[in-house]
Amino acid sequence: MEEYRQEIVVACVLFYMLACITVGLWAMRHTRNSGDFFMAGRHLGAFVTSMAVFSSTLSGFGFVGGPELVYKMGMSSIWMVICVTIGYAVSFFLLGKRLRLFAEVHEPLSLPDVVAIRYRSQTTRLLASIAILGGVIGYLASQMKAMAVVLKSIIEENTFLMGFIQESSLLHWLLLDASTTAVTMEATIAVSCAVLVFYCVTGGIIASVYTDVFQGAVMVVAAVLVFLTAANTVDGGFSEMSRTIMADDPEAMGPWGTLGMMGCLSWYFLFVMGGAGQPQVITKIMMNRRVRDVRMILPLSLIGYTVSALLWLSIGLTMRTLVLQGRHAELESSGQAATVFLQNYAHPLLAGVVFAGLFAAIMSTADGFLSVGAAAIVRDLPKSILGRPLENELLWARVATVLLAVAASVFALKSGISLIALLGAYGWGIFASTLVPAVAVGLNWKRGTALAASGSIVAALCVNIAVLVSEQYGMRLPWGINGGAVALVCSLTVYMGISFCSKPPVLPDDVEIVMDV
Amino acid sequence: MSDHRSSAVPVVMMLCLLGMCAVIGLLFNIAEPEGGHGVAHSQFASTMHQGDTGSDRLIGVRWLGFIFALLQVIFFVVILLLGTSHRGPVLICFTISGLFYAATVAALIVTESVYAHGGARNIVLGFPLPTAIMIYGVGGVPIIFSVLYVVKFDHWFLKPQDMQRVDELVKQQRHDQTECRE
Repeated sequence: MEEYRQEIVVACVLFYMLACITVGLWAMRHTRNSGDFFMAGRHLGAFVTSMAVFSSTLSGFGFVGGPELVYKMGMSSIWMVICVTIGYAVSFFLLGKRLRLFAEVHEPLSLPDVVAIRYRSQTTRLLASIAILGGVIGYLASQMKAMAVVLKSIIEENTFLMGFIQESSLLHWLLLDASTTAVTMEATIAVSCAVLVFYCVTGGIIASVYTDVFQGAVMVVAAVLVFLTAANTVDGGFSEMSRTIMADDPEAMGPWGTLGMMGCLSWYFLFVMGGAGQPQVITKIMMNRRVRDVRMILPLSLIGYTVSALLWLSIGLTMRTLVLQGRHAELESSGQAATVFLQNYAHPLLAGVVFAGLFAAIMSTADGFLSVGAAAIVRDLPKSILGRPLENELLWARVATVLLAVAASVFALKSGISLIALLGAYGWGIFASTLVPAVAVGLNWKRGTALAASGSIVAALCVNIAVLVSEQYGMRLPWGINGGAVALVCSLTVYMGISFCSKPPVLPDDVEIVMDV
Repeated sequence: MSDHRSSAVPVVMMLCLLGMCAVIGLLFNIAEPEGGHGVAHSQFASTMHQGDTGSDRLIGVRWLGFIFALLQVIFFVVILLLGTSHRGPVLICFTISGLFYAATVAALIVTESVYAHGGARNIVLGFPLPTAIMIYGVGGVPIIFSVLYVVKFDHWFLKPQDMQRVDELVKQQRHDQTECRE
């Protein structure tokens, strides 16, 4: 079977993509209006919603960036994983029933809709939409580029496929670079983007959540199998890995890893609180059929995420150990930890499942971004600027989905930033710092004002931009603290500070009743 | 029931946030040693980092980190209260769980300090002791809150009478909308 490794990987990825397209075609028949397109008609069961919630939380960052960080920095990034137990609790305690109750009473179709209902402010809606749109383009571009990088490596590793492409003059012209005969990034972005856009445009969020179920299942199976394989790759399992890494550098295997205490604790804060501000995740909490379902969605999502995150820990530790023991040459880059492990140490079938799982992780997050981004364009921006939504919202939502995907692809191709390392930290941080105060705190605290919500979003954007710009000029925050965490602390303080200093707002009865529950 | 949300809980949250702002502000004023958050690995410099000076690199900030961690734990537990009804048994349960959570974080920081100075190198469940406390303890203890959410949902989070009020509101709104259309 080993000689067919590359063919098996390609077959698994192709099968996965065909399954996504099939789900898109099926979901198209169930998408009749913008309510179906953005909110799945609020008919999802607890199991489907929980699979959608956890698979949207764990993006390609978990499958590629996670092992990369463990290989590079030891245990530091595990703080992003262990935070999930308290992080999901925070998200569900604050938003589980509250968002669903707002959806029940006011029938919002997006997160800025909820913000507008809560604060009765179009300015706050506009700022929330801008924050979401900005974060979506950047984050989506990262996902697109990650998909393209993985697809490029899969195609180039496959001699049969490369031979076929080189023999066909049309495919040669479409996919290969004329001078180097390597597969171009433009071609792989176009292919992966086409599949994603197809099922998102045809089936909207219904396609997105049902592909999430399939994608979540693939991720769980892949993670368990990889964990078992990794534990058996080094004699003595994880204990031996710990001993090897400790002998080389005790700090790497300590709880702070090489990053140090303050960096790890800032990640912990950002990732615990940040979950309640990820629009692609929390909008799915509004889509379940019954309010009481959130009781089961929390534990199911938690189990799914925890099992899938086994891959994060196991691959990085195994590759670091193998390199330190001299059993594997130093990697060309730390970002190759996952792919090198799969190509060299995993059974061909497992490699195929995990590569499909990798696409699943990336696409399940990207389709959520396309949905919330399209809602911001066709619903929230027109409502906050023109005071009314666009006519024929469903058609424009489909057009916006395509345009958003194209814009993100162009951004991915033109951006010189090394994306996989930045993906988790910045995208997550921007959403967390802009939306957690106004949404997660604001929906549970009647004292929160519209001015405070707008102020916190502006403060978060300013701090994030300042950190990004200063890092471009080589100025980094001290002690490894994360810029997103600093922005989140600032925006929460601004939100609560302004609210405490303002006159308590008078809430409409329909909002007050929901907030009293 | 909503009165708690305008009193003690937000005040404690605000105090925690101000404390965290102070910690972050102080970090800007404490000189970071070379390699304070990792240096290139001596042998595999292009792809790996290492912790460099070990215990020395945290000398200036270990206590500050301890305070930062405890402020976070208090903030997380208190913000969970914002999403619940704030009555006696809830408060008792959350206080006990919060203390257990804080004790686990404290145990992590204490054992890590010993580890960084060359002790506590025994392997527990596949990892050195402080790392095992981090993964199984700090990662595991907050599951208590999720269990409480599942078990006590109808009592602490969404009482049937509250749901009834919402249902009546929805019915009233639908009725008003129908009348408007007519």
